[in-house]
Amino acid sequence: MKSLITRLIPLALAAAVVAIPAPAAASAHITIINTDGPNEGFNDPAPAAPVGGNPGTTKGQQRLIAFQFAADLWGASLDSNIDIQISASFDPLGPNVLGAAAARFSIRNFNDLAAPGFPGGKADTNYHGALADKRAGTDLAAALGLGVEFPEVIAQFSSDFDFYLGLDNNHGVRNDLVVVLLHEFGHGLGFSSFMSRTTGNTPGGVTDPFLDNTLDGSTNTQFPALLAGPAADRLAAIQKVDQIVWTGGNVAAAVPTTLLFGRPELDTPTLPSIDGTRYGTASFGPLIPATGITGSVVVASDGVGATTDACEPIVNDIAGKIALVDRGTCTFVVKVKNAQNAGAIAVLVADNVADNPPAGLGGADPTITISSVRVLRATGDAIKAAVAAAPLTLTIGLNQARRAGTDLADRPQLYASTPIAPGSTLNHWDPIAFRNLLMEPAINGDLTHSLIAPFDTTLAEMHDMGWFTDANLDGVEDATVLLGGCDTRVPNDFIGNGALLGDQARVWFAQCQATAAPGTKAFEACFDAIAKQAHHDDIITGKQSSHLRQCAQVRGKSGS
Amino acid sequence: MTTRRVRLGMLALGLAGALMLRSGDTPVNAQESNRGEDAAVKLAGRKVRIDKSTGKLRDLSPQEARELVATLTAMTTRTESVAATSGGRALTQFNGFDHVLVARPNENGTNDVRCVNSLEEAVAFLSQTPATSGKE
Repeated sequence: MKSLITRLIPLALAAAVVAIPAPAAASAHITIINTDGPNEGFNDPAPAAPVGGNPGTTKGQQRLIAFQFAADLWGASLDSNIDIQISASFDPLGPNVLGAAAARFSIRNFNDLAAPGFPGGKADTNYHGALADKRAGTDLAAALGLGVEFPEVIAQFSSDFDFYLGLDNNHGVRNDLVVVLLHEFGHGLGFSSFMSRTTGNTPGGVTDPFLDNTLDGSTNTQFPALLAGPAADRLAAIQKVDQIVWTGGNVAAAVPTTLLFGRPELDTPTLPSIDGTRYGTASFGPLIPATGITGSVVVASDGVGATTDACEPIVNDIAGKIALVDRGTCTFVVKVKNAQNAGAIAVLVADNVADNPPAGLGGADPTITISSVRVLRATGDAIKAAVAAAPLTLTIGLNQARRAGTDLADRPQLYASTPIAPGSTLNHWDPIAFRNLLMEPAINGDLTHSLIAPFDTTLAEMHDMGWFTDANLDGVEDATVLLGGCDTRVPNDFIGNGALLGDQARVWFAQCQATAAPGTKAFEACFDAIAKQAHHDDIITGKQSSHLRQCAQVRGKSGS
Repeated sequence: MTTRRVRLGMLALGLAGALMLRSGDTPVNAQESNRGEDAAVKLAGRKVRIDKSTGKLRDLSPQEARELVATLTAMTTRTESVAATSGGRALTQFNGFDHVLVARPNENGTNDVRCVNSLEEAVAFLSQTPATSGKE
């Protein structure tokens, strides 16, 4: 990476990306600042065949186009009259590192710099730079003498990693760069607390919008209140698995359509100490069926060394049973395959450390045809003690009375873990969430490019933190939905799929804009069809549908 | 400084060892010349390095482990500088990242990806190995 900043986004190249939808309304403009030197990273001249709607013909072009595509997806979703600058590079980081992005700065108590009419921020609250700029209506870094090119977000990604560079999410077994960037930009734009997961401290000892929405459900204490106490209390709180939840209303509205019922739990009524405990799922073998898997449990033995690790062929009778094996010594797929070969109907892998919650089981083996899950070490110990005394039947179940990813009060869970994983604890959703969410600690292969319900909660989370809808960029939250500069005169309410009407309307507008220019009959027909179908599906009301369609037409006729 | 170098060196060796264990093969002292014994094959559209003797994904060589340690150290060394002015206003600049996405390859060509913040987290994820308990 070179220190000299070169803002080089070839206009011709950007114009060639016809697949990138322009925003449906005023939005946030995000600029990628290419900090790579000649012939590296974004400027890599290695020839590349266009792929998945990415028209670039060199590796560097394709990277830059994918970056701008992800930035534009965010930009079309957020409103700010201050350009958001992402300083970015591709560097040789080795084959195991993908990259990262983060806020370049935070700022608090900046309201004296806010433009007239803009709300500014709450007192004694650290804001991500981009969010602070939006709320101040001012480029705060520039106002404080750091220069107009001082970025709000920094990003560094690996030129060694084989990303899928298409724009269509058709990534197959590879990792979709656009999804990875959406995740990382999300952190840089606001999805992260400034609280250190190592020390428990925050800059200046004050809160941030992320913490403002975070609750310790075990004591019903909002995190800002914890800032008055010792840091140890905060570090203890973020280790309370299943107890740390998000309280913001926008995410709460998105939860019913986004997170599905079917929480992975063991159902063991005869062993109350572990009844209802969660398990981690495997990346191989079949999913747990909705009805669960019920059977008697047997501790598998391979008769060699640590006899319960299932690293050798199983020697005791586990046919037709759920096999309990211990983690350690060999890979998960080896253990499960050995149990499968011995006739087990499913496998419980008991952890060999006290980590909580139970992680998933990694690996891949297409020949595995039985389900397997990981349980806590304590759960394994309890099962072993129980089966030593009497036969035990349990169900590896999916609790259909509870969503995967919410607590008993149906609030979305953030990732709490013991021990603390500084790179993921608190600043992500709990990986138990299903559907899989963009801002979980892991990047799952089934993620879409959508930021809104019913596919995701990320934009809702941004709204909760203060990224209010402001399509006309006047600094005042929009009371009604503005579409392409036209006031639909319908309130920006939550609609049937859990999204805000304004957010959803922008997506529909952009979908049509990707296929036809506004002002054309084809565009209006596209928007008409979508809005009518949404009404038919009870996502929006007839009045909402009618007003949206009228506005789309007005915009087209005016050419604005 | 010396202490830091020693620590990083030990972590690199530990990482290489942990990743060697992951394959399920008997751990041996990795040699940098191992690379010559590997076969680069195309699996699900991407090149992966396979250990000829085992047919399994090859783990990191000590050199690669050292590079990974250096990369993660550089990226996750996060510094803060605060410029405070009147009225309680304070702008905190951050250099470095509070997390990095790392990938753990699977034998079907996919990668498991996770946010980590430290070498210890990276080792735990990449090797799926608690420090004291061998392989998975």
